[in-house]
Amino acid sequence: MKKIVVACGTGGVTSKNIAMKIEKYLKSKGVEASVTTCRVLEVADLVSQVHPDVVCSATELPPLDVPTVRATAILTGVGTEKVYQQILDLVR
Amino acid sequence: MGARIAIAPSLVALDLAAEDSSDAIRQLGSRLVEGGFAGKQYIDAVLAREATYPTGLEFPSCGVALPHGEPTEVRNAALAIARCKPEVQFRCMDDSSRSIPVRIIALLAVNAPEEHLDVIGRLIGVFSDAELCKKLLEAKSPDEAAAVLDRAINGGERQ
Repeated sequence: MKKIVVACGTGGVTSKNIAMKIEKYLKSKGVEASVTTCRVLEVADLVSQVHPDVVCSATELPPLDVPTVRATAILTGVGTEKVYQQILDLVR
Repeated sequence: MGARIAIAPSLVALDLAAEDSSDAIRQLGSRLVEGGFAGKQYIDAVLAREATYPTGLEFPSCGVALPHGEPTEVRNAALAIARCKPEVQFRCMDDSSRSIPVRIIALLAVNAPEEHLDVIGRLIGVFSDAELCKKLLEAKSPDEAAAVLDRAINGGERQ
């Protein structure tokens, strides 16, 4: 199954919200993926352990070896379709 | 369904005048501390987080900031809201080199993000809803603003 990691600055507030929305979107497209959340501080380590197919975040990310998608649009509602499509293309 | 977040009129600051984002967070934060929702350390944590991971977000209707910190020092989940006059510069969540003028600050104190997932989702939804955002921007009293938010976030089936 494809793996998605959603990172955020602190406390899981934005990452969990984004993760939930991504799961819902992928489900509506009939795509299965495991979505986990983490703090930006931990993301590099997590990526080397888990090798996700994509890392999404509304906050800035450090350089990573896997594709990343800026997910701010999922919070603001401006340009969400484009972001969802990017994610979908990476996990389909 | 998920837990509620306290949104009392005492936690609403209409026409907040602040020198900068830190000043605004401190002013708004003091309401949470006075209300017993969080300790002073929480506000320090929020300020520290804002410095490294800023929370400015550009919604269609206006600039919004969502400062928050690690859930550990929160006693009771609450939301303090400020409508800034004039707008205050906050750095952007997805580009810390960029600043945007922010009209609404939503200072969040949650102690269990998993349980509060629904309410947080609805809060973010308020700002992308042109009609609700307008109600908030035009509210004439803290009671009115708190009621708009309480209904949208804690009440009912809104998604």
